[in-house]
Amino acid sequence: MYGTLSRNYLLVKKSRSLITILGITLGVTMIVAVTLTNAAILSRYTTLLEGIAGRSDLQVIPHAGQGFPESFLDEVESVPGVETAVPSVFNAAPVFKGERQVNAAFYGVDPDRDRLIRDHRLEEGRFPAARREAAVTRELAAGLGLKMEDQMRLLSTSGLVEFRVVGVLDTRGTARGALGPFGLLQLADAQQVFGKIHKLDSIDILVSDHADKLEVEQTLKDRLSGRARVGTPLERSRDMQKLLDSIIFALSMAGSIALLAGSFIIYTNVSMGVAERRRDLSILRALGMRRREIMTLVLTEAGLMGLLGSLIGLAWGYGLADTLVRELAGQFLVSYGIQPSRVALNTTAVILGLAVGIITSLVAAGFPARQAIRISPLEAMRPSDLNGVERNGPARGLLGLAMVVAGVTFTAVTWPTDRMFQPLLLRAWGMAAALMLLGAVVGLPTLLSPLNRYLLRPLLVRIFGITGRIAADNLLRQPRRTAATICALLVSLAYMVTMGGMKTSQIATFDRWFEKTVGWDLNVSTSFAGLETQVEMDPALVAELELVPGVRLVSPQKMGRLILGDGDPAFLQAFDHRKLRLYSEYPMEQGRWAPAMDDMVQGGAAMISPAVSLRLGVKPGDLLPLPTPAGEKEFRVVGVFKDVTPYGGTVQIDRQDYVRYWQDQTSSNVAVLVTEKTRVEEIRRAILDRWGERMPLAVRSNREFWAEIRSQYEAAYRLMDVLIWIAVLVSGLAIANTLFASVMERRREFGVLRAVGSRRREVMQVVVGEAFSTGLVGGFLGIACGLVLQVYMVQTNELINGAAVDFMISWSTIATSLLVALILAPLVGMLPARRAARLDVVEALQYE
Amino acid sequence: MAEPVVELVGVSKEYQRGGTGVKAVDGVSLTVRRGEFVVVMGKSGSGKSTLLHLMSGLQNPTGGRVRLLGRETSQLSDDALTLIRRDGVGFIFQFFNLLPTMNALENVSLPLLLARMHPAKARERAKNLLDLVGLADRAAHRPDELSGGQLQRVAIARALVAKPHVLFADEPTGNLDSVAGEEILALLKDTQSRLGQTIVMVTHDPRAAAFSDRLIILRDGKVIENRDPRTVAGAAAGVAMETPRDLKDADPYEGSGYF
Ligand SMILES: Nc1ncnc2c1ncn2[C@@H]1O[C@H](COP(=O)(O)OP(=O)(O)O)[C@@H](O)[C@H]1O
Ligand SMILES: [Mg+2]
Repeated sequence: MYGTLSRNYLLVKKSRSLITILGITLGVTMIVAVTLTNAAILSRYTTLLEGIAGRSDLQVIPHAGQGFPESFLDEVESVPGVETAVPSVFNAAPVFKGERQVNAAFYGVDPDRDRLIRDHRLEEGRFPAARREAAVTRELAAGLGLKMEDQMRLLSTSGLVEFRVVGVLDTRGTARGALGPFGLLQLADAQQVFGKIHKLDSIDILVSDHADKLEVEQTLKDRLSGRARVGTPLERSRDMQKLLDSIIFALSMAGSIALLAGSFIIYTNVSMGVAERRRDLSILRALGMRRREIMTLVLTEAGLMGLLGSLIGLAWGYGLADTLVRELAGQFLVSYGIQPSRVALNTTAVILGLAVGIITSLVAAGFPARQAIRISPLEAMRPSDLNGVERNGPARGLLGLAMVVAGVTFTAVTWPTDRMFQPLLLRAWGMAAALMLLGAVVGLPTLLSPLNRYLLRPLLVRIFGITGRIAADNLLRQPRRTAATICALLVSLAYMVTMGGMKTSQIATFDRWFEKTVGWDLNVSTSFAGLETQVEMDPALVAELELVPGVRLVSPQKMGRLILGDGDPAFLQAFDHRKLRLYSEYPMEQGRWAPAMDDMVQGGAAMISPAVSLRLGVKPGDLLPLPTPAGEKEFRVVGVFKDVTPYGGTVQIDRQDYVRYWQDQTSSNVAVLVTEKTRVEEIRRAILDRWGERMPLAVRSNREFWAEIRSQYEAAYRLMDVLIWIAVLVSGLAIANTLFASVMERRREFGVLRAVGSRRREVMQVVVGEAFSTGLVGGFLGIACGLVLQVYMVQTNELINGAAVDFMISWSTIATSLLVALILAPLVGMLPARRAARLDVVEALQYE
Repeated sequence: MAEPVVELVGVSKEYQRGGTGVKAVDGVSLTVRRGEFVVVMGKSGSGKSTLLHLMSGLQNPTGGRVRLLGRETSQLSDDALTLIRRDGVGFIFQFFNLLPTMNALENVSLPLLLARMHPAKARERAKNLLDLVGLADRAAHRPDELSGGQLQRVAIARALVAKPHVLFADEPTGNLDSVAGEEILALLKDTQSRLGQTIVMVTHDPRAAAFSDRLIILRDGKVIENRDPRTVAGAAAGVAMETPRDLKDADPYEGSGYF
């Protein structure tokens, strides 16, 4: 029976149900999209790692990017319990054939040994047995149009190198892990082409059956302490999750906000449905339906809408995830030479999407459902009159206040002063923010009354006269509903203001930092330079750069990632400070630049960013222990500089120390100063021409580099903007919906207004006035909350990812928010307003 | 003879229901003159409310012509009709239809404020009207704090506040107990006799006939009786339209001393 009633209700109120479902759909869409995106990127990375790891029990990997000495292999093999130790080199690099280019992952292995750990199966041909031979996956071969015995050109540290395809790999082997273009080279060959002579990127270990794995792991850790990381293969995926964490967090916030706005729509519509069907419900009660059954009836409807909305949300989220993955993959995966996998719907996302959608619907419907069960069976017999005013006691206001205070207190108490943020704390803060928001929703109805009396009503009366007065009164008719609508707008605008402000602040901070810090004219790197892996530059190439006419100074720079003592990654920079000081000056937070440079030049010194100082508790004058392949080395901290890179903190050391401890002469890029600034373009051409076919280089001018980074910031926020506008859209829907609700509920009053002489335009004013008030309150509170949230984000950004941000207000975002609040809200209100104005007076008067 | 306030000539209203037409009002001709208290009676569904809506311009007829305050309703724009309602017509309903967010005084002054009268003046006038209906001491009460009879009094005050040429009432006692109903009828009669208020009232209430100058009885949308209940031999409604005269600017309460 409920089934029939529910279905009828959904059919009868088709348009309203559509809005309700759409609200849930958009929220679920975003939650699902974000979850799937996270999963797609992470799973891709994890399968990559799994593929690399094969059957190995343990892995030895370097603390920082450039590998460790081959000699570690002997040390590992000598550990009792190590049955097999298999060395390998990994590097992503582009390969070319004719005009075609594919970025691929390359492994340098000893095929016979490697097969003990990984299944390499050949579809065709054989494994590389000599130099300049490669076995490639079908996918790579197809990408380049390669056949057996064809030549392909691979980008090495010193230029393009010809390789012959001697085998095609079955993708069920290791290649399954990479799932993409992938190639096997001989170990020695790979070491040579990637500038890793006598170096390894990983040693995979099989522990013998009778040995204790944990014991072996401990022994290895003791022996290699400070020189390399020992662990199970999947520990590395944690690093990626950390990288992804803060961005995924920001995206899920936007998703939650849309869902919250969606839940307000449900609340409004279900409570309206209940109000409209009071009579039906009371008749059902009179006919003997029990409270529990009424509750079931109302919740079934909400649940059905939630289910439907979630199902559509799953589909849309799946679609949106595709876009998100493509955008984000650029930042996280491409440097591994792998493409993101197709987004796959996983059970977690499906369950999460459905659960979140349905539970939100049920909770939002629960409040009106409680009203429904209180409907007395007598009500059907009583005559109905215009519905009165819902009253709100101070209890709700106090409860709301308590929730806000609890959220604030939690944040204040857990505010870290001596450590970086842990993802868990970030999530807890997300919950605290949600609590505060909920407090606002709960408390706002109480606040609404004074707000209305002292601000809205006088204002509206001023603007519209008596119709404004009616509009203001109507706001208080259903304070909870009004508050929910306001909050929907509030949260989406707050988020818009925060994110717009963060974008402006980050870009401005970066601009200032860049202006001061980056003094070179040209930056040269190989055409494949990324954060995680890249093709480095051979020292000979760097030396040759000095021969280009017009080049005044060539300063090799090495960059990579480093695992610090606390187990988390940081950004490592090795500069030639004798040269750096000629063209750069970093803004300092502790210590002074010039004396710090004197120390750096001497060697054994390090400059760090505030995040590193915080993480490890080191200050200028302290000793900073850094893991190097030559063991743990202590560097004297000589300064703390302002950092804008978001990699969790930066450590800068001198190149001489880097070369000595890492035994690595390559560079990630080269800073070039020219003799005459006006000839920059000409010199750039000269560099490109000189290497031409030999080696594809990327040469960027100072401006181009700046523009590139800037556009990366913008790209990251573009994504956010899409989500924010979806949230704003949902809140616009919520406003229109609430007003439709109040128009339909009060159509008799509108009939009365028309009967006593209100023209259509005046009736519209009443509704638009309500929309305007909602926009006004939601807008101003939203902007205020957004600014507060931005202050907080600015304060914590450095704690989250190490990048300093100076607080800047984004006036354009604030203007946009105001526009949305003061123009869009009334505009959206025009739709229900027209409905009100066009009501047939007689029908409206007869409506019960 | 006093001038006509509402004139109907061969007026019909047909509703489409399930493909077949239902004539709610069928070829009605009648005239309401200034100062008259006209009562419309008939069984439920006989077309009383529809007739009232047609007379007051809330609905347009599907046939015939309605002239309200000298203007033919079907030829007026929605706004023009609204202005006639605002300035020249008052309504009261079975369900009192007061705005729940406003107190009695505010409800009464609403039509004046809609007509952009100065708020202080509107208040003053509304107070007089509340006084007239005997609710001066309830001015600050909201609808949910008033009894049914009191609500209907407020509604009457609101209907009269703009000094309408004609007051339309649709079953004003239908939702009241008999004592309150009697009081309302007496009040309406009082406004007619003291202010010369023209009233058209639809009712079920058999007592109402005694208050009226003219009783119109409907059956199936047709007028089956149109007479002075006291003289029994009622004059047939004037079929010919009289010369139109715009009554809007005249003060119907002129000389009554109430305002
Ligand atoms: N909007 C409408 N649509 C269709 N039929 C209607 C509508 N309004 C009234 N009617 C019909 O017109 C007839 C007269 O109705 P009404 O004027 O309300 O009668 P009364 O007020 O005398 O009870 C009834 O048969 C009623 O069902
Ligand atoms: Mg009726």
